[in-house]
Formats: sequence, C-alpha cells, structure tokens
Amino acid sequence: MNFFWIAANTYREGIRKKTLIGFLIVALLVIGGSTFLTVLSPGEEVKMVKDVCLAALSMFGMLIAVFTAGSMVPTELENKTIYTVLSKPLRRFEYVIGKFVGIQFILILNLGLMGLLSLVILFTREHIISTILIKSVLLTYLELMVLSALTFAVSMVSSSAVLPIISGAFIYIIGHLVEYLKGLSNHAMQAGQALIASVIKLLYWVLPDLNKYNIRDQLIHLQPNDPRIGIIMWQLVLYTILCVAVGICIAHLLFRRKEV
Amino acid sequence: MSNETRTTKQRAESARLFILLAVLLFIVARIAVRLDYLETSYSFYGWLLARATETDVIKPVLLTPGEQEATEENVFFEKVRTSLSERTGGQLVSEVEETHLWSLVLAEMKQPTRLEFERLASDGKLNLPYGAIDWSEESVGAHLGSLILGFRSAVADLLWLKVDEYWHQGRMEMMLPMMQTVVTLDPHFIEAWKIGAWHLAYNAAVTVDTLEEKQAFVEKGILFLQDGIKRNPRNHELYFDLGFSMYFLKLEDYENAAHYIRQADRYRPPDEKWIPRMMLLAYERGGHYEDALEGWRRYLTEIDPESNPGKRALYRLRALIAVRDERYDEALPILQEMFDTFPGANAFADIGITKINAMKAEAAGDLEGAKRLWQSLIDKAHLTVWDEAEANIARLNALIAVGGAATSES
Amino acid sequence: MAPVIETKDLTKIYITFFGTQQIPALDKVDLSVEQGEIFGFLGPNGAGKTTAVKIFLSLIFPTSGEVHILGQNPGSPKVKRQIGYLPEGSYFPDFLRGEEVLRFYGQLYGLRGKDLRDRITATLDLVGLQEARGILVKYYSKGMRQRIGLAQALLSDPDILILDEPTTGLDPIARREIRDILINLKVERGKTLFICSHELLEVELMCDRVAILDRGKVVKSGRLDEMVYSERDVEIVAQGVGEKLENEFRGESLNVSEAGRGKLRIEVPREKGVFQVIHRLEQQGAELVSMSPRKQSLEDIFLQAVRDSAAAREAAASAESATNENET
Repeated sequence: MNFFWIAANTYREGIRKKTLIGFLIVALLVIGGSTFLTVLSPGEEVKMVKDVCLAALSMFGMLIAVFTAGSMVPTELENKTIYTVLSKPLRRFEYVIGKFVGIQFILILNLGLMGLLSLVILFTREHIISTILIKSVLLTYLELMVLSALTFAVSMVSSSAVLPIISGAFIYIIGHLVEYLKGLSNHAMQAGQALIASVIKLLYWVLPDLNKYNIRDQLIHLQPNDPRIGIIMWQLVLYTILCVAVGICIAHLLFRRKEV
Repeated sequence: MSNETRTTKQRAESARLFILLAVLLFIVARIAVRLDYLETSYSFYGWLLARATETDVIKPVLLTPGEQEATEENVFFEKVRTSLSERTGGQLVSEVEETHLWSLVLAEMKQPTRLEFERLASDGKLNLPYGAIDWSEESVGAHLGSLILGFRSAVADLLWLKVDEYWHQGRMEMMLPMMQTVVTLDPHFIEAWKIGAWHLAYNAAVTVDTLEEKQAFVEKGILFLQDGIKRNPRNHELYFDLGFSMYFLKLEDYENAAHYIRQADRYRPPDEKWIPRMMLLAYERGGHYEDALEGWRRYLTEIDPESNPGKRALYRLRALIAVRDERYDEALPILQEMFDTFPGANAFADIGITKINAMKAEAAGDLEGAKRLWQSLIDKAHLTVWDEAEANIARLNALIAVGGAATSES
Repeated sequence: MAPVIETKDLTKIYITFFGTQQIPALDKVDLSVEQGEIFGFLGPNGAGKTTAVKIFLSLIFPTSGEVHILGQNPGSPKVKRQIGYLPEGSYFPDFLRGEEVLRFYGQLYGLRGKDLRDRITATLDLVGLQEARGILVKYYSKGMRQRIGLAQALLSDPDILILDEPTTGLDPIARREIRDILINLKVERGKTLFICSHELLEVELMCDRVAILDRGKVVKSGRLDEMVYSERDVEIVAQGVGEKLENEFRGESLNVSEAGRGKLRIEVPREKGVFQVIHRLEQQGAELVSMSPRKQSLEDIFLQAVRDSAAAREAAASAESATNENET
C-alpha cells in the first residue's frame, strides 16, 4: 500500500511543478485554437478540428510523458530528497511502482484535460458526444503508458534528467520504426541471410511497436466498411499492459541495488 | 548476514528477475504475433474489398475497358477469389456482408495465402488501400514525417488547405499532384476525393481547349473517384458522386449513372431520399421505364408514402410506357388523371395530353387542329418543348402546303 | 544485550562506471553501538562517515563485511520502522508544506488517521515548528529545515535515531535546543542515538561513546570519558616552580606548559610517581594550585589520532616501496 502514498506525493509534485503546467497550457491553446478553423466547408472543418485535436493531444502527450517519466527519479536523486524517502520502511520496489503510478496520474490528468476540451469543442459542432474521440484518446494514453514505462526504466540509471528525456524521445522514434523491421527481415530472408533475418524478426516481435496504436487514425474516421476493430483494441490493451510490465521489470532490476 | 549468503541471495533474486523478464518478453512477442496477424488481416481485408469492388462494380462498366493484365496481383486475387467463393456460395465478394467477410478473411489468413500476401506486399506489387507510399514522390518528406509521428490525417488536412490555396490562385499544376498526396496520406478523406474529382472533371477540363484534352481530364476525374471507391467501398457519397456528378450530369451516360447510383443506394443511410430518387431518374432517362416504375412504387411504400414527386412519377412513367408502345389511348386518361390530381404546376401532363392529341389529330388528318395544338404549347410557354413544337409546326406547315397542292391538284 | 548497531569488517569500495577506478571508502570497520547510548561518529570530511550511515539505511550496499541493526539486515522494512534518519543537509520536497512533509513520511511509516495527526502535532511541538506547519518548505530557513528533519525522524517514535551532522550550520541557540532535545531523548525516552559530526565540541557535550574515522579506518574508539580523562595521568598546576626544577621536569620528559601568570602545568604520568613530583615542588617552596586528572580535549585526541593514522600509512607505504625495490 505504500506505493500509493508515493504515487500521491509524486502526483502532487507534478501538478505543482511549473513546467508541466506550461506544457498543458500550450496544448490547450492549440486545441482551443482549432475552433478558429472556419475556412472550409462544414464537412472538412469537423474533420480538421478532430485531426488537430488528436495530433496536439498526441504530440503534447508525448512531451509530457517523456518529460515526467524521465525526470521524476533523477531530480529526486539530484536534490537528495530521495534519502529521506528510501530510508523509510518501504521496499525499493514499492518506491518504483509508486513513482510510476504517480507519473501515470499526472499523464491521465493532462490527457484528460486536453481530451475534455477536445470533446467539448467537437460537441459544439456536432452536437453529439464523440465516443470515437474518447476511444482515440484512450489509445493515445496506452501508447504513452508504454513510452513512459520505458523512459522511466532508463531514468533509473541516470543522475541527471537530461539523459532519460532524450532517450525517451529516441524510444518514441524507434518505437515508430519497429514496424519496418518486418519488411527488412523478409528482405534479408529473400537475400538468403537466414540468421540475420531471424534476429531481425525476433527484434520485431520483442521491441515495442508504437505504430500499432495508429488504428486510432482509422477509428476517428470510422467508415462503414471497416470491420469491427473491437478485438484489436482488447489485444492492444493486453499488449500495453505487458510492455509496461517489461518496463517496470527493467526499472526494478536497475534500481534494486542502485547506490543512492 | 555474511558476505557469501548475501551475494548468493542477491544472485538468486537477480536470476529470478531475469527469468521473469524473459517470460514477459516472450508473452509480449506472442501478443505481437497475434496483433500482427490481425493487422495483416485488416490490410488484406482492405485490399480484397478494393480488388473485389474493382472487379465486380467498376470494371463491368468501364469507359475504356482494358484487358485483364496477368500481373502477380491479379493472379493472386483470382486465386483468393476462387477460394473464397467456395465459402460464400458463389456470392460476389464485394457483396458479402462485412462481418462475415471479416471472419472469412481471418480464416484465410491462417493459410499459406498469408505468406504470399506479405511477400507481394513487401515487394510493392500490391495496390494497398492504406499505407502505400511511393518513395519517388516529391512529397515523400511529408509522408515520412507523418508516418513516424502518426499524424497522417492532420498532415493531409494541412496539405488540403494548400490545395485550396492553389485553387484560389489558379495554379492547377501545383494543385493536382498535391491532391493525390492528400488522398494517399488519408484515403478515408472523403471530401478530398469528391472535391478532387470535381476539380479534375469540371475545373481542369475548362482550362484546356481541345476535346481530347477535356475528355482526358474528365476521365482522370472518374478514375480518381474510382480509386476513392476502392479504398472506401462502402461509402455511399463516392458512388453517388461518380454516378451523378460525373456520369449523369457531365457525360449524360445514364447507364453508368444508374449503375453507380444503385451502389450508392445500397449503402446509403436510411433517411437519405435524394439518392434513390436520382437512381430512378437515371433509369428513366436511360429508358428503363419499367425499372423506374417499380422503383417508385417501392419508394412510395417503403420510404415516403406522401411523396408528391413519387406519385407524379407513377403517372408519368405509365404514360411514358404507353407512349413508347404507341398505345396513345391508354396514355391519355393517365395523363388526364395526372393533370387533374396535380393541377398547379403539372407541365408534363399538360404537354403530354396536348402532344398526344396533336398526334391523334394528325393521324386523323386534322393537320390544322394538330398545328393549333402545337402552337398552344408555345403560347403556354412550355419552354422544354418549344423547339419540338416549332419543328412540328414547321413540318405540319410543309405538309399542309403539300396537301393543299395535292387537293388543289385533285 | 545485543548491540543495536553492529558492524564487523565492514568494507565499502566505490567502483567507477566501467570498473576502471576503485575508491575505498570504508576499510574493515568494526562498530558496536549499545542500546540507550549516544554514539558519536567522528572524522574529517570524506572519512566515510556518511558512507557508513548510508549503509545502515541500505541506501548503499557494502562490498564486504557484516552489518546488523537490531540483529537484522539493514534493508528490511521491519528494521527501518525502528529507525529515524536525519540526513546531512536536510533536503525535503520543496513543493510541500511543513505538515504535508510530515504527513507523507508518516504515511510511509504506516501511521494513519488520528494517530498520524497526533504524531505530527507532537513532533512539531517538540521541535518548535507549530506556527510554520502551513508554510511551504521552500521558504524554510536552514534551522527550520533541520528541525523539520528532526521532526520527521521522530515521527514513528523510533528506538534508534541516526543523525548526520544534526547541528552543523546552526546558530548557538538552535544548537542548544537540538542538543537538549537529543539528550532528552536518550535520558527520558531511552533511545539510542548515532550521531555523525565533525563538530567536536557538540559531540563532547552529548556523546557517551565515540569512534574516530579517518580515510575509512577506525583509528580510535571507546567511551568518551575514558578517552578524554586519562585515569592514570595527573595534571598539576603550581606557582613559583622556578627555572631549575622546570628544566629538571622537562629533562625527565614530563610535559610542562605555561598555565598563565607564572603558573606552570605539569603532566605527570602515573608511573612516574605523582607524589614524588609534589614532594619536590614542596621542597622548592612552590605553591600547589590544583591537581586533577589529566584531560585532553576531544580535539586534541582527534588530531592526534588522525596524525597517527597518517604516520602509520606513510610507514606502510614506505615499507611497501622498500619491499618493491628489493624485489626488483
């Protein structure tokens, strides 16, 4: 249960920290600014508003995720507030989990606010509550959960916040490129290099593929011909949980004997 | 705790954690495999539906039908189609209901079909509805960026604004390629397909001089819409645009118009009334009066029993059938009833009655009477038949002159 | 009774990132802290005091040797519940208010609800921060931070308090107050205190036993009064000794020093015969001002110990280089 207090405290730190509030405000401005897209026909306008809102959510969500997850533990190490915490009767694992959950609280709050604003904006145009938008935001959050878990793991070995944040950005980019390993592996196979092909294929299966969450693009413009994407969503949720578990496992491995 | 026991305990714990990590990664891989299977299936579904729509809906009525090339893609498609038709009981793939088709696809993807599909896809031999980039295109940067960041539709929107800008600046040569980029990035951007086709067939065609060039643009517009249809095979708007804006209005090709508007009608939302009416109009213009009549009857029972255009259509079509079959006596009372039921603005009935009476008069030898009837049409300012009336008056005048000469001779 | 904190051959070597450099921090340290005493852990900066303390709290881990707290491993949460820790420098989450800090730590100790609220108020009272409880820690002065640090260490009413430089950097009033609190904790509450400090005067006033650490080695340890007061030696202050007798004493290698205004201080080791010296003084006609057990200041002991250890190191180093030369 200890992890909950750590999480709550982390959350409080997050919302009182000015940088995160800065991100959020900029994001809200961008989303709010989308209401001024009145250039085109109504059909196109709604689409643009939806797309801009989701893109902003995704972009700023990624920044917030990387920043929060990457800097939480290193800053606590740097300003030595970690001593008083770790000397209390709690296991290191509880600390790790608590920090991670706190980061998720912060992420959910930010995404929630941005999503709420988008929902309201769309409501004023379409006069229905767009459940598709909600599903898309959820998918975005799942992606960010994986991203934050891996960035968090990296932050365990660093004493400055800069390294994990940059790593987080890298992880994001690499995560979106994992998809192409499949084609690469197939080409290697065709070129007769079976061993390399197998290694690449293995990497493709094991590395987190963030492009899988891109079905939100198709969700947002659901066409009558698209088959029920329901099963994909559930599989994605499972995938997310496991990738997050991997991230936390790595974080725990790195932190258990870390000398503070 | 002594040194040795501490280190062994630690090593044991580390080992356990590493094993846990390995297990987790294994499960991740399993789920990734499953997701990959689902994604490939989804991609296959889209491709299959696109090809099937092409074969079943578009190809049969092509403007310039070409030979079926024996590309690898086509061969593969035939193979798949045969395999599927066994399970659909011969039903056209494009008409199979979506969820059923999806389960068929899922089953199909478990077999060697999948390997071949992946191989063809990665070799670029397949025309995939979603995700294909031509690396030689100029705007490849936009593609790459948006793919990585996952903002395809947002980028497409921005480029679409650019298209609009180019349009207002009159820069056709910049606008047209960009339109293609927009729909490649976001194939479900319906407005882009519609407006893009409009730009091609109407606006671009105006800018050129020769008939061949104009026709070329119109064809481009049609191909553009067909491409959009392949990627959105269940979207009624695109079928309708192709059938109505292109074939009905621009080319006055009522056969093709009816063909596509019929597809639109299949997939239209339940309250949509304009589409079925246009479909029936296309039948009528194409001379398929019986189909139109039957369609209107269905319209009146199922969709809108109060529809005045529908009720008028019933009369009109019955009259048209009678006239076509030269049963003028049957036609007259129909038209009379039509005129009585809709006195206000019923030009058709009025014209019809007058014309039939004129023809009857002429057949009975009353040329003057016939001429008077034709003249009355002009007097009543029935503009649609002005030319016809004038032509008939002229003809009758000629006949009268000849007849007069004949009677004066006899 | 089993010692509260016990280490045997405790060694810590810091290894830099790729194992290229090894920095020894603790070298076979033996410590034993008994229940209910105030233990002073002294040493120059960088001696390794904080390293040892961090090992007690499982913030870092020993390279070899044994550590037991209350007979158990330092890492176990059960043990940590019995420990209150005030780290050096007192860094606390800036964004929290004083009482929020205590609430957070209290929650980690397992305190809840009314119990927690009472403890917070009690500790705030004890350290005198009741009025400042609603202010953000960001705005606390150094003294206030030390106090809130002490408060959070006392939250669970632990049996053991580990304090790293508790009075360093404070003004004399604050020092006195904290010293009083600490002594009171031992005297009235029977707690065990382990204090790291290089404020020798404070240590001298508070501690029962001390250990002096220099470059990772314990160079001297024992009961403070035993170390400071040498039972065997006597210090005689006399007036009017006269030069002749003074030189005699010096010649007998007795420590003679000025004691101000013509007085002389003579340190007489017991074996040299105190009464003899007094007799000679009497004969001289000198006046006996005072006679007391010889007392060294802790500072002297400390400096001496550090010097001795340096000398020992040099000796060892030259012996080693001599052997090396012999071998080559």
